[in-house]
Amino acid sequence: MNASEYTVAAYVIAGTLLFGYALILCISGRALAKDMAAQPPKTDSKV
Amino acid sequence: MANLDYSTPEQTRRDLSRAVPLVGLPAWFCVSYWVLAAASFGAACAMTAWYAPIESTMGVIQKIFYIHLPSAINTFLACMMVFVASVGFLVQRRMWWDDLAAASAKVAVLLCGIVLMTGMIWGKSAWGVWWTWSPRLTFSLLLWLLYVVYLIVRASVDSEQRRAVVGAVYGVVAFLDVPLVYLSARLLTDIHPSSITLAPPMKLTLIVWFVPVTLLCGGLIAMAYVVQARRRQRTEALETGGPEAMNLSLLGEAA
Repeated sequence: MNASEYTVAAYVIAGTLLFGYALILCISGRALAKDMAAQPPKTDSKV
Repeated sequence: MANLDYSTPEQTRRDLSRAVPLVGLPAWFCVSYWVLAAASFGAACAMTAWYAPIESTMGVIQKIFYIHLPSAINTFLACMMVFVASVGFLVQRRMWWDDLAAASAKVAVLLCGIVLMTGMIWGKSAWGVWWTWSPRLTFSLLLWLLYVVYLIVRASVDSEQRRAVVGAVYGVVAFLDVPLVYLSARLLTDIHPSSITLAPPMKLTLIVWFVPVTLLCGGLIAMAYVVQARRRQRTEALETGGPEAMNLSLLGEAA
């Protein structure tokens, strides 16, 4: 690999990690929200 | 004594909305935020490719610097967020501080990983080796390991209260490595440059790069925080003991 290819690889890795993690968080956050919405609310939650 | 009640959904929602500015804001703001982050990332890439000149000594590989430095600075900010949230938890004993610390630690690991990888690619091209045990590189690897271990330690503790306390103490201690990373290349003999002189177009490109990386850092911490808080709420709802497991009064009285 030459210097240009190394440079492009660095930016591709950084961009993939940053936006990939954002996508993972978005998907897991939505899944959790749906999961919680499907459960009945607790009425006796106050200690 | 601080209010330790974190047992009702209303209390949880109030804490969530107070913790991070992004939480509780309308959808259009969140969409605009991420569109701005993506657009500024694209603009910064374009500036790096076509606007920033090629450095005379190092050549095109110097352009890695534009993502390397903002990632490093934002790693420090994320670590500082872990530190502040850990101190906040130890003082107030509110669980949203713990959620914030965990979320910030995840982003710190991600950003520090980017710093290490881009640095290694630079090193391979500029120095001919992927890695060398210079002070800054060693302390940077240590920083990444410290926060990876932070997440492993958190995952290995079953009790939420104990996990929060252990995480908070660990988060305060782990932050001590941040000044070591910063000062290592300045105070010790190091192959890593401590400062680089930049031409005006290079400076402008570097400044522009701080926008998407900082937006991504803040946005990722906010999103990771929301996921962390929702996971806690779900666990609370699923537990048979429910609210008792979340009550910190015993821990607070002991402290």
